[in-house]
Amino acid sequence: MENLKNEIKKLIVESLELEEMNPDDIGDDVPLFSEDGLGLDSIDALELGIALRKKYQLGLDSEDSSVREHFSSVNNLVAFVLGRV
Amino acid sequence: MKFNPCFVIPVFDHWKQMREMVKSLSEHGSSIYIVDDGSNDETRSVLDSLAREFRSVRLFRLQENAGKGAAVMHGMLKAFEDGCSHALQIDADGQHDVRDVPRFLRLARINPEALICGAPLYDASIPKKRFYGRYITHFWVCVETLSFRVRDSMCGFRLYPLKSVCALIRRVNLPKRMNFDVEILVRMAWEGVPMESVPTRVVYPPDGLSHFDMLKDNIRISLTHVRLFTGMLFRLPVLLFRKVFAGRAARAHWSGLAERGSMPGLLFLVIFYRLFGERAARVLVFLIVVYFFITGKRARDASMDYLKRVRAFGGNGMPAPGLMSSFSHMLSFGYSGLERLAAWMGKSFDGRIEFVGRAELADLIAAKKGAVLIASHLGNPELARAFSMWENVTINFVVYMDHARLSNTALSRVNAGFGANLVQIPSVGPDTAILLKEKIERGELVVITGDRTPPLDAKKDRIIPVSFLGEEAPFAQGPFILASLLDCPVYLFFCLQHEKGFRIYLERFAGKIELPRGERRARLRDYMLKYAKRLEHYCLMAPCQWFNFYDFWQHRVHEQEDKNG
Repeated sequence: MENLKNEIKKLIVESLELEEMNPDDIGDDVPLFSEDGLGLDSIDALELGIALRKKYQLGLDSEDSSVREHFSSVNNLVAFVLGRV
Repeated sequence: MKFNPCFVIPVFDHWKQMREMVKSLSEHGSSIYIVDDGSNDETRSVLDSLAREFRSVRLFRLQENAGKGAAVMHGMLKAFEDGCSHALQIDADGQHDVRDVPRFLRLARINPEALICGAPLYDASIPKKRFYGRYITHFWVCVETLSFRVRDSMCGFRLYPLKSVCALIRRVNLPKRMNFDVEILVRMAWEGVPMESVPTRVVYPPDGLSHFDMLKDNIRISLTHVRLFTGMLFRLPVLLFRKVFAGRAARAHWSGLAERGSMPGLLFLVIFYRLFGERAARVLVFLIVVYFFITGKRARDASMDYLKRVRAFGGNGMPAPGLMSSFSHMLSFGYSGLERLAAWMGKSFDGRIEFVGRAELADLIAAKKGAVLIASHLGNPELARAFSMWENVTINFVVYMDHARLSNTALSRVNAGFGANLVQIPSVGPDTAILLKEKIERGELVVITGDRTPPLDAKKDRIIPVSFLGEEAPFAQGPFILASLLDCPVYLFFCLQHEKGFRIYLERFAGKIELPRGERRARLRDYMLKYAKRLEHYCLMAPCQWFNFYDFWQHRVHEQEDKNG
């Protein structure tokens, strides 16, 4: 669980090339796509989706509105990956 | 909607069989809508007493005889208002066998969308003249609907799905007399309403009174066929503009201009082409464009507006805007659609296709490195799909599902290869991006459209206004974001008609589209501006091959409205 969390944080930093950031800087519950949090945008979401899919073979349907929810924080992503793998 | 059927019986001076019929229908427990179409006193009093006697009877009275069609429509609208879902129409003269009612109802339960027609099994009692008359009508109905789905078009024993039929009644002025049965059926077929049929025994009672006037009603029916046949031809513009070129003219912009249901029209054009050849098909297309030009004010205005812009932008070499040049603009659209159809039907373009910039990609293809090609709604990029541009490489054309679905099924019938290299995606998301990325990694080519019309309700962050032909026009970001995700070289690609053949242009656009964080929108805008510049360049080369017939610049207005609001 803790491992997966770190793995995902690392994935975020690497796939989005957040050069100024360290994986450990990302809080578990920090909103990823809000200005109060990491402030990622929709292109980031796509890139992150691609990276997640490659790594965990997740199917991500862009029409599925729950995707937004899953992507909202590291904790939610972990739960999502665990639920799907 | 809950299945709630009823019966509709138009009555004009028929009373002899009524009591027996109402009695047996009332056993089904559904309402019986009797519409008295201005009958004589004798009939009136019978109907009045039936209405008193049977709780399920609802009696309506038209003050003057208005015709069978008028009576049926009156009854169906009332039934729909009362919450009925289906209406089984039955003639009052007792020629329909009410014992078959359960068969209609059973079929309607299974297929609630369908129009269920009685297909008569005549016994020896049918008068010969009416028998042949039916055959002639049957032939015409097959032509008009371009199908054999309709087994019998004149039998008045049929079950209507009320929702769609009432919508049609409200929208279209249907004939009120005997020709009603035929016309409503053809129009429902045009609407794409599924048809079912129930074999049913029809008897002409020896003492039966028929209101079918041999001369007048046959003339009426013939005129109906003339009108319906013309109507079918008029539906061809719909097919040309919405099916052959699905996506070219964004549906939202055309929906107000054209009625639904033109799939038979495309098949008609295909058959016409096969039977009479290309030259005749061009004449047909010419007539269609004339019709469309006269009736399609919005498209005409858009064309003139565009021609004005392109002339102001490009100087004097351009056609002077006006009715004539707008007409040739639309005509070139029509012919271009025909060329596309012809290509899929196997017409050979050997020696008439010139390829400018072929070498650009040759090395890349040889090295099995993928690339993105950005196409535009200028000329006929779709045509390039029909003849393969390169050997030894797979080319994937990305289309958005809703635009292309119909045209796919239609053209797929013409050429089984039609859908082969289409990649249908509902929208750009991780799954589709990965799918396309895998193709690029395999060394394939991916063609996307750069000037796809953003829907009117597109979110502002999905479009960027970019200067195009002298004024800012909204371009969708999507294609460029997708190209950047695919992380590979990007080329522009145009297929323009040139003299008797086509010229394909290919030019390098970017080694890769890079959108670094922080300056994304600005960089996107640069790329899109660069694209718009090249589009302008080719527009000036082939001004009449711009095949968007709506106000391409309109969203600018919308955006300003949003800001003000």
